[in-house]
Amino acid sequence: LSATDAFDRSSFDVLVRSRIDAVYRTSLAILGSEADAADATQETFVSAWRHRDALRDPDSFDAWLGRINLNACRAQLRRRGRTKVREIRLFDPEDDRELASTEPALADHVAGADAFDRAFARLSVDDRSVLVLHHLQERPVAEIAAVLGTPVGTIKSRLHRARAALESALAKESR
Amino acid sequence: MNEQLPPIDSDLREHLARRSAGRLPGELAAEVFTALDSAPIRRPIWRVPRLAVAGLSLALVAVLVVAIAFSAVRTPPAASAPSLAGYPAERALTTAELASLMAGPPLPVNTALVASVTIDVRNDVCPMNRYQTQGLVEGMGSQVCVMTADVAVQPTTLTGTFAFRYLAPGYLGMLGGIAPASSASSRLALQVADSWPDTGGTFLVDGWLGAVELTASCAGAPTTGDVLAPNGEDCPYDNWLGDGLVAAGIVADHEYTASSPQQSYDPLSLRGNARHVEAGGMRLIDSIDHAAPVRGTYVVRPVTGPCPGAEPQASRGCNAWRVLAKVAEISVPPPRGTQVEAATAAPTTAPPATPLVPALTGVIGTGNQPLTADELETLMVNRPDHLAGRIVIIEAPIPTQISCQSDANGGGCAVNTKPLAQTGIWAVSIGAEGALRLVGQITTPIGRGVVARGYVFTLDEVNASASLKAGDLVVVDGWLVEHVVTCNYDATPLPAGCGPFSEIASMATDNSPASVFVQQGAFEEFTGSAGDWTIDGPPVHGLYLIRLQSVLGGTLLARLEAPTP
Repeated sequence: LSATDAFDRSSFDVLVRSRIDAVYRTSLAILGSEADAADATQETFVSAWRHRDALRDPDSFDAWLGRINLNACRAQLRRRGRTKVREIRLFDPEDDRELASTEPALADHVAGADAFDRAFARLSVDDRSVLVLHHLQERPVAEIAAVLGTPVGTIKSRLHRARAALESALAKESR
Repeated sequence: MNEQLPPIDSDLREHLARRSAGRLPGELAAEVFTALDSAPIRRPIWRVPRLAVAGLSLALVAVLVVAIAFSAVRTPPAASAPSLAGYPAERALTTAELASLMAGPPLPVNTALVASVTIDVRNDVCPMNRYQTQGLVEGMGSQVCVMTADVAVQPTTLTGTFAFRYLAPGYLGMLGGIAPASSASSRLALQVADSWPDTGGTFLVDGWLGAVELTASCAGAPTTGDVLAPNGEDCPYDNWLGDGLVAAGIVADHEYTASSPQQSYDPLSLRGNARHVEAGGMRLIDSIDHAAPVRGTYVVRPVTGPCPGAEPQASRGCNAWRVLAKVAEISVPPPRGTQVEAATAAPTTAPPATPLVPALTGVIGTGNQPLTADELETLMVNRPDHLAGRIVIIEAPIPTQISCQSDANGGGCAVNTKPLAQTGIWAVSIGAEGALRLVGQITTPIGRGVVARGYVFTLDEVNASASLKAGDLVVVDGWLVEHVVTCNYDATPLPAGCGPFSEIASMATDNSPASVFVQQGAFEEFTGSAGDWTIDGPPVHGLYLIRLQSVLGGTLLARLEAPTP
């Protein structure tokens, strides 16, 4: 892709075909609903096409698309009957401690897939996203930072916080 | 750089992989391409510094405020109401028009309306002594309940055109579903000469309602019956619906039968330019006397009743057409917030009396206690019109009506002491001439009607409650907060799902530890200010009356304030 021809329609169609599976799976992991994920996927590409002028650097296309996808997921959650998305803050967001090795194993809390999904649904979209980007997609920290719009230096604390929020949510689900 | 991050958690990865597993929907790619085909063409994006946008917005708001103030001075509100051309003979109110109407000043009780809406059928909300709940009208700014006198099994949603009577703010009574005049016609109402259905549901007729006075001995004066199912009897009159001021065919029927022992005409057939109808109860409800025919659009239903001259024990009935209501001539008020004071609350203080939309500012007693009937009477005699259209929180027993007048000697009230409710704390709407209507009973942190610990919830108590349920009315102490738009890309307009959203929160921030989402647009509805969508609207502290849909969401009905001295 070059900066000038990145977004003629035929080039964009190629991009859609090559990214649609990844965008859909990311949406599915975050939203947990095939219908919502399909809607978010469609909105992601339509929004990217409509606002293609905003992409200044074609090399950052994937991070840019990831951020649009994240916004589409957030909008989809809002659209879904005003589902309450509440961040569970157990630690200072700036707290940059390493994950403690003594942290209880996730499996300790997980009674099953349903419990995990209910707990995951308690997390904010940002927390869900950072967990998906790191633990599922193993994306580099710079790309995670770009997608989340967060400085590279705080990704670790964001991951720590998201993981703690998930633990807390799992604990609530197992009560 | 990845090695700087926490290690990949295999359990977590397994769960996330499971969530994202499955085949890509086969049609999704095609749907995306179709959507792209219909996306707007490329356009230049003008980027303007945010402060400049804010400045322009402020200037625009100032111009609008001046324009609104100027038009408010020059033009009476009714004159600025949107036109309802063709209503109701040719078309029904749209959902948006009904929403605007229901959000405006209270209508006269029993006003008949026709609207095309979708009703979410449910019976677990809107408790009312008189009627069963049929459901909630979808697409309203605040909750609008549909009540029915007919307890029939219904599907989960009803979509169509319906005739309603306005029972109270937030409450409509179902008269019936309206079938269009014909599939080939754009008209909603039938003409008198059209073929009227003699079975089935309700329909509309455009015509003149008149009556012939008969020489008859009546067992008693006509009565209204139920407003949603009025009586037909109107002795000594025979009512007709015709297409003119006179109905010679109807008169001829009675001239003939006066000399004959038996009715010899078919009461369901067209009699010249008119048809016989039953309209006794409806005339009383809609205050239509018999002096002269009245032109309008009428809600009519086929009924089966006793035949003329039949013995009381006769089991065989006769068909007739009964007029249920005359559709009112109405105007739809402009959307709320166009002629109201803007909120001036500072975000970090709790002003005692933020000027919000007056009709949405309810009244509570001093010390956050409910008013007593005596206190309410005192308030009403001091300022007779002050509470009209508002919600008050009052402790039972609750009278039916407090009609007050003030004069040089201080004034006085006529109180109809027949109780609307004997026990508990209630949200009550003050209607025309001091008529009180129950909005619902207040649920307190320890049950309905119990005030030992006070009856104001904190948001934490609401969110954590295991006993609150859908339909409960609660008073909460919190901040009305507008959320930022959640999408950060440059689309105009943004999709509705992007917000903004309103909530009652425990703190003056959009990330409070406890909150209840309320209807979208509530912040603007209550403050008259849309704010700047790039930042949070200024939070407004207070006591809020909410009808819950869950412990996390509900409909904001009023902000409650103690009366000012």
